Parts: sequence; C-alpha cells; structure tokens
Amino acid sequence: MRNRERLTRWLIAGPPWLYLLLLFVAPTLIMVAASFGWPGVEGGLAPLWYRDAQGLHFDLTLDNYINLAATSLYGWLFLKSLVYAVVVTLCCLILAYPLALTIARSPKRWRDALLLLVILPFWSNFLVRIYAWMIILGPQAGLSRLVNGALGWLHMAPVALLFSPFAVLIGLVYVHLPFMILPLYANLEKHDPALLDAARDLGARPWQCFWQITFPLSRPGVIAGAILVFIPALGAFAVPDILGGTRGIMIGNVIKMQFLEARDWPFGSALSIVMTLLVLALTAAAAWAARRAGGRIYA
Amino acid sequence: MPVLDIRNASRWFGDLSAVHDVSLQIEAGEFFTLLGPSGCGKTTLLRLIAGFEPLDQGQIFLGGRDMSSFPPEARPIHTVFQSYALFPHMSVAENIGFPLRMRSVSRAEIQARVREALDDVQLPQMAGRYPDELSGGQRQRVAIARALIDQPEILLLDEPLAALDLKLREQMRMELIKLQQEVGITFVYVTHDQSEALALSHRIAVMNEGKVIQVDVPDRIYEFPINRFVADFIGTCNLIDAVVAAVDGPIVQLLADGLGTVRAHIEQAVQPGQAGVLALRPEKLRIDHDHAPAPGENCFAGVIRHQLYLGDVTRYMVQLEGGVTLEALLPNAAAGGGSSFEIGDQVQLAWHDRAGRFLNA
Repeated sequence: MRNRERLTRWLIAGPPWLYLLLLFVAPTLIMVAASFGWPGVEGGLAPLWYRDAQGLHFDLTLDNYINLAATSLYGWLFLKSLVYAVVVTLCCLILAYPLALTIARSPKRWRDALLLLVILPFWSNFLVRIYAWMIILGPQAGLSRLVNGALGWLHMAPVALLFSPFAVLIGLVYVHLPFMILPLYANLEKHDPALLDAARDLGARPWQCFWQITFPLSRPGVIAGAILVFIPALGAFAVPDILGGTRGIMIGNVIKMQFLEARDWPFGSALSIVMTLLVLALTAAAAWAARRAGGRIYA
Repeated sequence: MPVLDIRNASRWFGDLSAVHDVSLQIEAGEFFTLLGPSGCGKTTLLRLIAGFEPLDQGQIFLGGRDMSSFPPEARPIHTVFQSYALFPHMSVAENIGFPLRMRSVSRAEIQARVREALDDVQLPQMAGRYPDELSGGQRQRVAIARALIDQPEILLLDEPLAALDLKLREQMRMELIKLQQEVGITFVYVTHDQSEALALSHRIAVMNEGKVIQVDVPDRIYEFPINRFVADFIGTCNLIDAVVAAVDGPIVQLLADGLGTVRAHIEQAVQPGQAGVLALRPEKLRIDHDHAPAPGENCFAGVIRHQLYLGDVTRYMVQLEGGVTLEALLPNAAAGGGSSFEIGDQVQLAWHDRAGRFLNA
C-alpha cells in the first residue's frame, strides 16, 4: 500500500521534474559552461576539455565576459533594450487595461466571444503579421503619407516610419498586447462587483472606485502581465530585425548574430547569461519593491 | 414627516416587475424591516433606496429631497451588504476609515474616529488585521462600523446575519438592537427570516412578488395577518378553507372544510357566503384528555397522530373527527419532564373564538 502510494506520487511529480531538468536546467548549465569556452576553429564551440598523457585538462577562459565588459556598445545595447522593454510594457498596460476591464464587465455571454477576438491574431503566422506592419508603415502607405503631409504643412522634415525605433516599439506592443490582456482579464473577471457597490455607497466617485478598489486588487494581474510582456520584449530579435533596420537593433539581435552569423557561440552564451541575470535581478527588485510598498498582494 | 418617503416606486427587469408600485413612509430613528421570501423584491427595493438601481416609476424622498438625481455616493445612506463587501486589500482600520477618506477628512481626525469606532465594536486590537483574518462575526462588526462612521441618515442592512451560525446570529440580534438604540440612526433591514424580523423591528413591511402586502408592528403582523400569504409566511399557522355562515359583530360563524361549524375573529367587514381561510396559530390551541366546552370556545374531539418533541415545547398533530389535522404547540410544563400526550391518545382540542382569524384568501 505504502509502496503503491509512493509510486503514484512519483508518477505524478516525476514528469514535471524530468522536463524541468531536461529542458530548463540542463540547457542553462550547458549555456553557462559554453560562456566560459573558446569558439571553435570553424565557429561554434571548441571542446571544453581535452585528455592527454597528463590526464584531463579544462580549456576555459573569462575572455568572453571581459570582452563584453570592455566594449561599451554592448552595455548601451543592454540599456537600450531595457528602455524599449519598459516602454513596451507600459504601452501594453495602458492599452490592455481598458480593454480587459471592458471585457470583464461585459455581459457574461459576450465575454468568451470578445476574448476569442483577442486571441484570434495568434491563428495567423507571427512573421506574416509583422510583414503586414512593414506594409502599413512603409513609405508608400497611407499612414506615412498622412504623417509626412502633416509635417510638411508644419514646415518640418519628413520622417520614415519604417526601419525606426518607432516601428520596433509598435511591432513589439502589437505582438505582446495579448499577453497583457489575458492575465489582466483573468484577474479583473474575478472581482466581486459588491466591492464597487460598497465603495460607491460609502462615498467614492467612479474614478475613486477605480484607483481605490479595482486597480489595487488587479495588481497581481498587472504584475503577471508585465512579466509576460517585459521578458520576451527584452530579448526580442525578430521584430527589430524586420521593422527596425539598422537603428532599431536590440540586444536580442546581437545574440542571434553571435550564434548564426558570427558563429561565436561562447560570446553569444555570455551575452545570454548576462541578460538572464539582468532579468532575474530586475524581477527580484520588483518583487522586493512591491513588498516594501506595503499592503498585500491580494489574489 | 417621515425621513424616507417612497412613493409608488416601481422597477422592472425586462418583463419581470421586481418592485411594483411600492409606497412606504419610514420615520426617523425607526428600525424598519422589509420581510419576504427570496425573489419578493426586497433587495431590489433596498438597491433603489441606495441608488444602485434607477427607478422606472415613482420617487424616493430623503428628508424631503427627491433622491432620483443623486448617485449612490451622494446619498447620506450606507449599506451593510450580505457578503459584507469588506475591501480585501485594506486593513480593518483602512476599511473603517474609507468613507472619511472619500470625504477628504484630515488624516489625524480619521485616525481618531477609526480608533473610537473600533472601541465601539469591541475590536480595538484588530486595526491592523485584514478581512480574511477575521471571523464572520468580526467581519460583520467591521462592516457595520464602516457604514456608521460618517453618520449616515439611513443604514440599509441586506440580510447581514444570514452568513452567521445560529448562536452568533442570536447574539448579533441583541447587539443590533442595542446599536440602533445607541446611534439613533434609521435602520432599514432586509431579511427573509421572519423570527429575525419579529425580534428586531419596530415595524415590518411584508413583501411578495414585488408588492408590499402588509405594514405593521411585529405583534400585529403576527396576530392579525392581513391575508393567507402573511399568515402562512410569518410563523406556523393552521390554514383551513372556510365560508362565512353568519356575522355577529367581530365574531363570525364559519363553515370550515373538514372541521364543521366554528367561530372566529374578523378585522375587516365580511359578508355571509364569502369564502376565505381560517387561520389558527398552533400555540393558541389547547389539548385536554376530556374537556367541557366553555362558552366562547371551539372544542373538537380528535386523536394525536404525530408528535415532535423539541425540548421546551412539543408539536402535536391532532386529527379531528371532521377529518382535518391541526397542529398544536404545547409547553412541556410537567415537572417530571417528557411530553404530556402520547400518539394515539383520544383528546379534546379547544381554542377561544377570538384566537381564530378569518382571512381573505
């Protein structure tokens, strides 16, 4: 009986542990090891150790990290990507909140249909949607003509919308918006409407109801959405590749280039590790700040 | 002048008339109860008073002012919700201080008044706790303290005791009565629990299907129900279909189904031949082994069919010779304990002429 219980427990708990180990811990360890290696003669990764008559020798270096720290360009790119990711997260929050609130407060029978509309774009290919933005922002498209017409009327120089930081931000916000809407909706939908009745009853005007009740209660949703948007936005490379041109490059593009074009895997690994540590540090700082700000995160 | 004057208030939800042409005058300082089965419109009426629902027809005056253009936050009316609706992300002190914060009262004054309010509800140590760390009774006290802190003119209470267990409920009844006397604020209380309504209220409005059926003080509601619905809803009542045979002042002679000729009391004028219902409260009936009928009394022979021993009292089901079965409630007064009659006992069931009421169906 006890053995069967233990077996059941392992059968249930085993697979998640196994795939965490296989798909998360192991690759991370490989990446950490690679970041201390040398690039191979033909690119890729040189062997991390070799064996000769004297025994086993490790062939490791700190060069990748030294190189990274010594070149200010990488620091600037990290900083730029960080700023982009913050702006994208804020834009997503501002755009997603009213939408999530509207869906959460609409009649129950409409909610699923409205939510489906949010997810619908996922059904077409990511690249196709980004190329669509290329056309929308292109110099011949109506939007560019309208903007440049207005600028010309104000005697200002025309601008290119495509291949600019602006295009990258639009693309990133567009791609990540649903990841903000869904956790926000999941949170807002659970709010007890009696709380808003109570707040109004006790003298709160509608906007006070929002800032005193709805927003503080939605904090777990805001945090979840921010994490889901911020982290992928920080490491984005496809959107800046397609929409950003040379000025729109982000740290993700550099990492991708190290692996695919420069074939310098150790340096790409070092960049990845630094970014992972950066995300961890920021998340920890945010969690610490949230706790210090007092009040409880109510889920 | 009544503090709350509801005139011909109506509210529809689609085809459903949730509140239908309700007029009520509630006096200042009164403990007024809206009593009715679920779905009778009492909660909708409460929401109309609070301002959560718009009136489709009629008007509500508070202290002589028409409230229809006032949103809920502008009405000097607060509500204690059935679920208490305490803000889960705020501490007890922040919850209680909320109405003052919304009125931009100074921080120091809020602090002082919240401390005072916490003392009043005997929760001075709970200021820093959060609602999910409180017991049901404590939550209810916090909800009441929060609703009373800026002294509204009217406090609405939507079944505030429904979520509590029986012992606590009875204790809170006492506290509510005491509290209402202390603060002197008009209470409008919604409940489906008739014993709660009888125990707490100065006056009760019995509602059914969106309409007010009867408004009166508790003992009048209990002793002189206006129709079959009120008699049946309030307490337990033997109800027997009957036809008026003769009228003799406040006493009528009835021909009751399965009973025969019986005398009963009337409040409203009736005509011979009129059909209605004889209402008999179980505690007004007397059971004896043999009994000589006295003048002014109805007396019938019967057999005890069932009994429910409840400790302090016993409920007996007595089948009479005419066929009808009546319920009688007797205190277990015997010093030796136990109930006084056994199933199968041949007994006489008697009650005073004035104990039975003839009601319109």
